[in-house]
Amino acid sequence: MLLLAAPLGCGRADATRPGMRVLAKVNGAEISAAEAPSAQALERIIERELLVQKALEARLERDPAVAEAIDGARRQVLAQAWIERLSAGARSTREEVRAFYAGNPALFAERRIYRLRELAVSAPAELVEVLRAEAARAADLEELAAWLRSRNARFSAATLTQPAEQLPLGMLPRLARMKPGEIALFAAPRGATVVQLLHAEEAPLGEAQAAPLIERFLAGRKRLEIAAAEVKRLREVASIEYPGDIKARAR
Amino acid sequence: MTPLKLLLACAVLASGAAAADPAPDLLVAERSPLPPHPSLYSFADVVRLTLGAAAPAGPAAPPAPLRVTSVQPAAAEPRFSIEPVREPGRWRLLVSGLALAGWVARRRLVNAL
Repeated sequence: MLLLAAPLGCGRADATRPGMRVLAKVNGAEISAAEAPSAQALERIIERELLVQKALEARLERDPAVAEAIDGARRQVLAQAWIERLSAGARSTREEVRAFYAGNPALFAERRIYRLRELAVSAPAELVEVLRAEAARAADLEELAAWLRSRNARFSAATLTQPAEQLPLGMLPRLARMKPGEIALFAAPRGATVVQLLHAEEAPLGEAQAAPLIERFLAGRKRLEIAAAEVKRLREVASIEYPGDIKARAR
Repeated sequence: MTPLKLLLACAVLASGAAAADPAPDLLVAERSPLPPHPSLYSFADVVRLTLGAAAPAGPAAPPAPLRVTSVQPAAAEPRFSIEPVREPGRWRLLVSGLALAGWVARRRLVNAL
């Protein structure tokens, strides 16, 4: 990356900084300890360096396609570095972790592993409403499947066992309240999903057990929020022009 | 990740009353493909998207292995082709026959003289 940030044609003169331990020299070019965290990585960097030196000898950096790729990579690194600088202090507090844990019992304190029978139905919105009424009457999913077959509706059936965290978030609050044998219908992008709870096994996660992941997750979410806010702010103050109909074509 | 996706990940969390998860199960989820629609994302999916998109730059990672792809076809193999030997056309046979007959007649005439 440092190589990319270096001016074109300058080789890796800036690859090592004062005080850094030099692990290898490749035709005079230094490879620092910061670049190679392991012996295996060092060998790979040496091989890459050899190829880079040949590429520079051949002045490949002046090839328009290569120059464009280098510029794109450099800009990506710079954009990422700016976000990292802005979000360097993003941390989650103990109170936030605790609140998150308490606010989502279906995933933690009351976590369950669900065994479900599922019918994924492709249907227009009007049929979904009829299906909802039919699901409320049906004793089990087989009865509902027979009804769907009689209407020539397209559907697929499956039985699955999933822990709470791997079920769609939109379904979870309802599933968490269901008892074995109960049937529920959830609207899906192209129809509906009808689910019958076959069995639910209690598998709670303690706060201490969940806290490390919650901390990472909340910190990650903060970084995303910072990034999204920064992009929004920059767009508001920037002058962005779309010459011709480029914008329309980009859509 | 585009700003839209960043916002989407946040929005899913805000609306879904989601929460964290057990690490072992998440590791399994990390290998599974994302659902086709965001409304079907599980908490494990959201965590994966969030941590994947927002992971801070760590210590220098080893370089990705260099890709070696063949842009040229493999060395051209010798190709053999069998084509019929073209025979002279009928008019060529006729002309050559007439020329031969003329040459023989001329030779006899010269010898006779």
